[in-house]
Amino acid sequence: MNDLAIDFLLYGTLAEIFARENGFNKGLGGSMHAFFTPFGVYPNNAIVGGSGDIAVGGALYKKVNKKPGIVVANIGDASMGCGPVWEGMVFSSMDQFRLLWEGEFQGGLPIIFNFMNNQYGMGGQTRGETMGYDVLARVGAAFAPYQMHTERVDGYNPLAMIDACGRKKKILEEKKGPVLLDTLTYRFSGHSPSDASSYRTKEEIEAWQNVDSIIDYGQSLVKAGICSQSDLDEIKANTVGKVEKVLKLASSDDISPKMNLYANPRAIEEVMFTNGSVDSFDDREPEVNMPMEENPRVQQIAKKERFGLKDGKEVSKMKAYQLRDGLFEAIVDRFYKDATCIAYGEENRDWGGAFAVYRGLTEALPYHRLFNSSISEGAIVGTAVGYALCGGRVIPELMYCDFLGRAGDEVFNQMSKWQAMSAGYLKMPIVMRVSVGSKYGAQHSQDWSSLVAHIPGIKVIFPTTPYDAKGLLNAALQGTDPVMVFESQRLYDIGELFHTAGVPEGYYEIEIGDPDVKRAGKDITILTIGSTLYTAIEAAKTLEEKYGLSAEVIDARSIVPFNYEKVIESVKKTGRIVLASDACERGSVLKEMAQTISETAFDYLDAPPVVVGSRNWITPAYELEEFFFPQKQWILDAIHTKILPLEGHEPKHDFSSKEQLRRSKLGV
Amino acid sequence: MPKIEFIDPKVERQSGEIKLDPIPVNQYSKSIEDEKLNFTKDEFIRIYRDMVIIREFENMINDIKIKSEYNGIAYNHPGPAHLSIGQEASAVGMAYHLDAEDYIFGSHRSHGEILAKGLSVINKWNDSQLMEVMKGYWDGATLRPVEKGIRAR
Ligand SMILES: Cc1ncc(C[n+]2csc(CCOP(=O)(O)OP(=O)(O)O)c2C)c(N)n1
Repeated sequence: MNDLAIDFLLYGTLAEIFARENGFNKGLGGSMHAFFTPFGVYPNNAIVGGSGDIAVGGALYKKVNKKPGIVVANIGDASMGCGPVWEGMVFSSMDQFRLLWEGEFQGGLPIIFNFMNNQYGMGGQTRGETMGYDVLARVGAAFAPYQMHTERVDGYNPLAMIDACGRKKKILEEKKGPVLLDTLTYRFSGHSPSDASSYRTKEEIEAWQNVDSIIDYGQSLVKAGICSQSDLDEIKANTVGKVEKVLKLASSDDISPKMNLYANPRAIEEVMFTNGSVDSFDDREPEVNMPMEENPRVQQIAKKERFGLKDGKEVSKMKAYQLRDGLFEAIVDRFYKDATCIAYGEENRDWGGAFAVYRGLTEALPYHRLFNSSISEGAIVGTAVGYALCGGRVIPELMYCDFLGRAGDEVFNQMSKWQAMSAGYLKMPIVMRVSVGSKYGAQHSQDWSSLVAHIPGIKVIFPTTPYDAKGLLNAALQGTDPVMVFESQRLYDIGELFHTAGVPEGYYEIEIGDPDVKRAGKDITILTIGSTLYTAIEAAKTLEEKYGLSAEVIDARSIVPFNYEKVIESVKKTGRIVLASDACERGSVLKEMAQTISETAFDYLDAPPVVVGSRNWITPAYELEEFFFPQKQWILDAIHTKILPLEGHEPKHDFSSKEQLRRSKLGV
Repeated sequence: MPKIEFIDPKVERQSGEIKLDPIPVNQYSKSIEDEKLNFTKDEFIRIYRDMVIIREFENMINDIKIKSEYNGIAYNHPGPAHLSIGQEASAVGMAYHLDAEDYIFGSHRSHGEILAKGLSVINKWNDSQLMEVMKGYWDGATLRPVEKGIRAR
């Protein structure tokens, strides 16, 4: 049986490397991403240092969910130059694990950062050229008084390595992690087989080959009388036979076919999302501090007006059930349903999140379920990726959308890809919250939903009303896919102005992907993303009152997936459409929507769809924002110039094609 | 910002210095004789075997990449292959104590770690555990060819 299992291991790995459907990941992972979780082999990562924060999330999963075992991040020496690796180490060594987490949750994360130190990046020599640490192990001393138990091990001696890992494992089991290991080794092979090794001498390679650990260790076994040379030779011969066998199997198109996309053109499409529905990822009772009814925020919300209009007038902000309340209700509900559900980010605990969405959660939840992280956006998302793919539900938060760049790899290459790269084996139940600002200038006011929508594998929602916020967030928190939630800071305190029955007290879901007609009309359609909905509603009122045009306003609510049915139905009726949002116009996802509408509803259109976005500038100061973000006047001007002259309308902004081309020529 | 942590200016502004503990470098110094207390004969040999398996696996891929052939078996693999020939002792040592409940995450150069960890788990599991996983994975799609062995190519 052992023999069969070894063949299975070799074959599953090789078939994966050769992109065969029998491979461990159906060939969708490949050499650099192969893994097999039943043996505890979690994703390998083609992004240098990619595992540096993801593995920390695995350790977090084990700690929070009381699972046995430790986690090892095997990363290269050159990855010590990568921000996410540092962020991962900072995150993993936060004092709170030892000082503030309570009861059995107290203690360090069970993780070893094992730097497989072969002393080179691709060609760059770490010691002496691209790094300054002299000995990599030194770095561990920086993170905490216990110095991450850092040491250098002679990774050329298997027994030294076994000894070190045994000792370190014990440290982790005593909850004294994290640990850093500098595992000294050397690769004879090039970075890849095509590597000409122009960066090192033949003598150097030979010097390391002369102390080849396999030969050395084998000889020491013979010398110690443990076995004979012929025993070793037999092992080698046996191994060659096995390797030949699996090569024959894995390279055969009959035995190991590649994924057949002719037969099933949707095979990859089908694994982009897992589209699951899961109440809870663990049977255990969620750890909470009090019954939900006793929570002060819950009690406060109970007194609020769940519909924001009374006798045609808006209820005061104080009295109205706000959008942030909708988000809170969905989140608190999940915390009481799913014991694996945790939330973290900057200023999440005590402060309650920079925009008070989490106010009341600190009282409700113990530390290990809601905590403040280091200012490590990469690690906030990266650890969430690790946490989710190990089997937990997690809500990471970035305070501002503008900080997304700091978590670029984690969002664009990790969160988005592991479901598909595992052929649907792994799930990624991450609900990532980001806020879109408006008052703090160029680096705090950007709607980057289009950037995220461009990346396959992430669902994107942008709720703009309390009713939608609760329903969409419930759906996201019930699902198994990564969902990025955009929240406008302009709207956190808005009441429910559309759903006349008010925001239901109980649980309900709104289907992700389904846009909502917020105002019915017959002459022109306005499709919006984000807070521009409210500008569009104002524009619709003016169109009605001043120009006798009835505008239908549709709130996209979701960006990925997006179901066009309602929009096309509307366009069939109106023959005209304007699309508007706060995102910079160039490359905005609205352009994609406009294009799709043109292609699919061309016969019904009287004019091309027109996009009104923000200028392709930096966001100026709040006092100048009316020159940057789409205003009611802009929507009217655009309609007047490009779709349908409005009688008596005097445009104030130039929406002519000539101006559009001029700006494009200048790139502004 | 938990309020329970009081930050005292008197303490924070005191002069002093940070002392680091010495960082061990390659301090392992046991001989095989010493280690006979910790390893059985089979264990000593299995460590060797696991290293050899990884080496041969990587050698094979290297041959396939460079010569499109290994021991007379021809194949062209256009994709990547970042090999860890030379690093086997590190991988096997890292994985030796780990069972399936221990998770490893890796890099672009992790074939050796996958195999080392897999071999460590295989060694620790009994037959029925192994069979259950192998049969269940992709409904046995990965296992079947291995069980059937080589048919005509
Ligand atoms: C973020 C990122 N930058 C660059 C690369 C290209 N690249 C692949 S491997 C490598 C060197 C990595 O060195 P190290 O981490 O020491 O691992 P080793 O290859 O030595 O095993 C580079 C630069 C990459 N894959 N990802």
